[in-house]
Amino acid sequence: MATGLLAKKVGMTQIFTAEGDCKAVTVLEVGPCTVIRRKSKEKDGYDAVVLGFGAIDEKHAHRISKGEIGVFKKAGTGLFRHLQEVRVKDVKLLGDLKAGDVLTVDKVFKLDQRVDVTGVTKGRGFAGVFKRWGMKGAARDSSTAHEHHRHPGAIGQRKTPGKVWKGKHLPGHYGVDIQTVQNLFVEGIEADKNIMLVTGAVPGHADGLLFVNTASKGQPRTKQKQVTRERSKPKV
Amino acid sequence: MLRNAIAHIEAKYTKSNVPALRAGDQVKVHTKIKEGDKERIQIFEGVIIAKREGGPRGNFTVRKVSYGVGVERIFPTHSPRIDKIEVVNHGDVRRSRLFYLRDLKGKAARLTHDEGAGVEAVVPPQP
Repeated sequence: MATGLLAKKVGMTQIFTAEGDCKAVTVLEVGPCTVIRRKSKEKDGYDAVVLGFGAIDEKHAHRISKGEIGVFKKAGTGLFRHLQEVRVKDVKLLGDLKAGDVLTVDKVFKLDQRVDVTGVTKGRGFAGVFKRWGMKGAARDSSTAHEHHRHPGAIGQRKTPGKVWKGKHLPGHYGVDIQTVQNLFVEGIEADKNIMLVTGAVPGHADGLLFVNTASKGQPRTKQKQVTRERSKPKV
Repeated sequence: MLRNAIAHIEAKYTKSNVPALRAGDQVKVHTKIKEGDKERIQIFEGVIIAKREGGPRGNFTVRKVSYGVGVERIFPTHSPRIDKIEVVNHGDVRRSRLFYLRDLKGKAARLTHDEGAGVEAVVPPQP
């Protein structure tokens, strides 16, 4: 089985756990993804599968290039808008997956595991240093020069070095970056609706394309029950 | 279709036995308290001084004065830790946020309401 699937962000809501705690979760529509191609170490140098997500009908086939259509034709599958290669460390994880196999959320992920979610963040346009770098600016009410409240302040030293260091935090374009949020907890899976719930926020806007992968940092160890020994009775 | 997925999730955590709540209501909130492996019901009685809408994600703030000390608790409306919510009466208030009650003490902190009228009788007519 592949370790990851393509998904769509639906939005956020809250759920209650069995203990009654309230948790913020993101609802994802994960898969189903179709295997388009199987890559092998002998032929391609590494083991991977290429997954297709978001079927396109014949009417909109002109939206993808002829080269891509050729790939789907060779696989003998339908046309898909999104492709993603899922590389695995161990070939055993892939099993005997072949082109045309359909992967659903319940086959790949299970409850209480940890996942990494990759997506494109929301675009903020040309943003100032408050939003982009979290700077605090100057005082609002007193002891500041005219209209200097949201400014970055000093950006360098004096004659030495006589230049602004590279990478200095300044205003500029912010957002539309590929970002991965690691170790999100899978709170719920509904196979019939292709829905998965993860704790916390994921990058991008609702309807945005995401790639959900098994956490690269590994799964948490199962907690071992602490053995409490009874205290021996004091000798009289 | 996508938004339906959220409604579908929220429907699972929405309770049907929640009464209509308003700011100014005197309520008894029956909360489930867990002690060890036993569970009991504790009643928190006070006035609703604020309410957040949001359907299944809403909450409300209850204020009471306990031994001279003001205590406020925020309850998620659909929390499974709430056994039931009892509306004792409806206070006659003119705002949706009664934060001014925090500054009032004793007799001044009371709300007026129709005495003797049942809960149903005080429910405002539907427009």
